[in-house]
Amino acid sequence: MRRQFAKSINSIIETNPRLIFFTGDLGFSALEEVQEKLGPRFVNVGVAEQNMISMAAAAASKNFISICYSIASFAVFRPFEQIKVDVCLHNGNVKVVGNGGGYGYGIMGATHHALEDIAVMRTLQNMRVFLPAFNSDVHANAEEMVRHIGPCYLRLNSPVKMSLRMPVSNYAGWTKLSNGVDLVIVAAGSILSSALILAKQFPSRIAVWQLHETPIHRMPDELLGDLARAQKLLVLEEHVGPGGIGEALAAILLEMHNEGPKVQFQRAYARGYPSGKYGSQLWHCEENGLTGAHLMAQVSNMLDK
Amino acid sequence: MYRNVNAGHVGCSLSAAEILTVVKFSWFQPGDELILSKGHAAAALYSVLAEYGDIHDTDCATFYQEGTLYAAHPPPGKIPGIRFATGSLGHGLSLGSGLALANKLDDDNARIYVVCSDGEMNEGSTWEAVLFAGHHKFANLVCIVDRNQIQGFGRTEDVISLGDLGAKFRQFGWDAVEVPGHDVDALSELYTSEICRSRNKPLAIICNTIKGYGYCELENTVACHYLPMTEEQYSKMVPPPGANGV
Repeated sequence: MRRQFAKSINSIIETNPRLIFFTGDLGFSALEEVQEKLGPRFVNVGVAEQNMISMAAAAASKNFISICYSIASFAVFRPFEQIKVDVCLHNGNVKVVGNGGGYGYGIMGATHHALEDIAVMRTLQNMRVFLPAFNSDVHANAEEMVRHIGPCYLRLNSPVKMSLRMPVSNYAGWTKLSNGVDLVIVAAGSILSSALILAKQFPSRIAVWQLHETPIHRMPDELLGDLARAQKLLVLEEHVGPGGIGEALAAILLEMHNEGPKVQFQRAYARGYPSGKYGSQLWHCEENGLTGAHLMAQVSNMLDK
Repeated sequence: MYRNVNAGHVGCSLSAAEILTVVKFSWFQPGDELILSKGHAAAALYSVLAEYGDIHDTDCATFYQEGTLYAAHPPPGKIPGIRFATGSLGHGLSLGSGLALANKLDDDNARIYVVCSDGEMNEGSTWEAVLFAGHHKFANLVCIVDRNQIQGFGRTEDVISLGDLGAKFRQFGWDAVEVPGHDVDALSELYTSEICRSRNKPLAIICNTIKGYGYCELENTVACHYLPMTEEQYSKMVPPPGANGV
């Protein structure tokens, strides 16, 4: 997904002469062309994420569009106060791009995982959080992120490579990926592949909805219709439960009171490192019940009830 | 201002008052930027901005009160002359470096003055910015350190010894100079000195100051960072008209 992001930026910079690209010393084998094209507007700040964010905010205050790139964990947590104060408090035109959201960095270990990034970023005023799942989302998200004037966070991960995708026209907050009448699964990012596998295994029974960004302003009428019909919702996220998209959706449904669909609500989310051991992204997702047998059991149980 | 609302941080403003005054009235040119990284000296900044004409005295009069823009630390984007909210230490020099970078890309020679506290030199992010600005030779970036030797809960050399700050800046690729920070003439003359005029590096000005300068018995104490001013202290510092032959 980072190569797709680099490709998107390569095209976006053609029409954005005020774009500055900051990197926290990352991007080997992906950002070389961006670096070459941008010349002095490509700034490797070194391993110094706090300085990167504040400088990006200052440049944004001089009418530049600042993009800050690093591994998701380093882009969000180390400079969180700089993002909160220097960027969001000023509604600065700064785009934080984190590669390897969730367990994306797999065997690299816990220091490189970002399981709480959506939670903390979505609490910040003015912040839009983009959650691409497919490579084609990356370009749409990157374009929307640069078009929007204000803070954004783009969470890159491994792209979903499955073909259950419905035709997508323009960028939207939601996309329906499969039809089904007995259960609705909402997911964001690459963990959508788990939902799509289940939708294939239970044809016409599971409606899969992709969430593209937070804050979630509203749920589409078609999604509300699916929920009213199925009366069951599973939110799947490669992220810890607290502050995740599951909690965000639960709040929306609660706030709808009697006007909203009544659903059995369940979540499958990351619990960190239950065994204390490490492996690939897929291994961690399996251990956390985000894919594989445990998720299958949870879904089967919901379908059978 | 402090006396009117019984607010603390008096000492922090008094150590930086001459610095801010000279930067704004003697050094400042159109397009230049002043960032008060030690945002807890906001009252000094508001006063200087009012004298300079960026804001009105009546604005300053709302300092610290309910519904004011003039909070104890500068807010974002609403007050002329204040580009960034500051108050959390360790941000200002990075913000200044970002402005210097933006100016360089725009071929703009305007100067950026960042006023930091010496306690703020404990922050790692400050040194990230020092490294970056030194590496990129931001000749229009000036870091002014209010070296009053006192921080939040002790004397700087007891908490985290800063030693020879000028030498540290030089090691990071900056020019550095030390001046008496309450000497308005010395500060003003610095602007036309050789080290200020012909530079190809960022400049650190270490201003040796006294925390709570002129603040009665609280001068040069940790307490003057926090304690509000009593009526008696105020009278001593600002004698009423006619007193002492004035």
